[in-house]
Amino acid sequence: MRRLAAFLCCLPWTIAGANGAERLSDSLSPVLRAQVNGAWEGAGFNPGDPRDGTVIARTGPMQVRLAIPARYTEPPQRVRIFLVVPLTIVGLQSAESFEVSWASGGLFLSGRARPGQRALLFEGTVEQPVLSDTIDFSIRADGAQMIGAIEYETIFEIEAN
Amino acid sequence: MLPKLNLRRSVLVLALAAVPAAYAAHIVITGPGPQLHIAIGSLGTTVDTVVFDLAATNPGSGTPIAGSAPVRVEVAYKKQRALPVIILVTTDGSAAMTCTTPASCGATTIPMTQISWTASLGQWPSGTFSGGANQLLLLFLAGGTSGAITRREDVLSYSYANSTAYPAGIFQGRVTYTAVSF
Repeated sequence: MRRLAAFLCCLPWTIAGANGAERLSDSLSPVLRAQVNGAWEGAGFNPGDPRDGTVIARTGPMQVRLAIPARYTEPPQRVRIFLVVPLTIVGLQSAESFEVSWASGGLFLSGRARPGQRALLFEGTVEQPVLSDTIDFSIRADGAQMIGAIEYETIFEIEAN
Repeated sequence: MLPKLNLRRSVLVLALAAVPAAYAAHIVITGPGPQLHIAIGSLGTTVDTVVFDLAATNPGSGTPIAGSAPVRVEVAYKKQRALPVIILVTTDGSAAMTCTTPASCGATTIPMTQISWTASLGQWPSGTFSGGANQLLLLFLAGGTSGAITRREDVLSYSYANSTAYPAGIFQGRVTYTAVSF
């Protein structure tokens, strides 16, 4: 029974990190849900110009505060934090053309990713329980694939380096 | 009994840990509005003019007179949703051409039914003005998997039928084109 109890205790870790990484909570961020109006990236009507059919939305700088579990800070460990884009995007018939790019305030790395991809956001030693920076998201999607409002939720993952 | 108590405590820990935390940057994007575009000839507010010169032809001979220049036409729709949208293009040729040189042609008018056009690319129909205010030209779906933009463009060459002899003079008229989506 004691062995079973120990096994059950460890289950959450397995669930959280299928690829060895662990999801991070950003519930400390001041804005957890932002609504932005998309715009056509191109003003024209040329079917051959992808920008004319692309919807783009920019959030402006968002403060993102990631809660770092104590096991990474006590003692301080070298870690890698990734930004993960979910494989499916609510509001899109097909997420094939969906792309997220972002510019950070300096602590995090800037980058871009498509659905199912994860991009390195931070690499270094964490000493504090909260890692904070601004992220300015630019999101692009094929307007023809929209079936409603797009709902995009960023996933943050951490792993010991 | 002690092992049993330990198990219950462990199960409780599991349940708490499985409650999903907030993984933020939840962004909701509302799409831009759809855009419908129609251009007949020059872009902007310019009204293009097509001239039919009968100086070298017998009036009313039945020999068609070609217009001075072809006119580029296009209608395009940029959609935000995957659902298909119907695009309708109509023309209003109900107002007859009126005499602008009363000394020679008085109050004579020439119906727009004397004007035909040929579409060179086949994306717009060729035809003749019916004289009606809502003559259907195009009806098509903007949707499916064709992409966000659906476009129909063509070059129309107008001609005057010259089937009736009218008094000499200068006649002017205007036709309008309208595109709607629903």
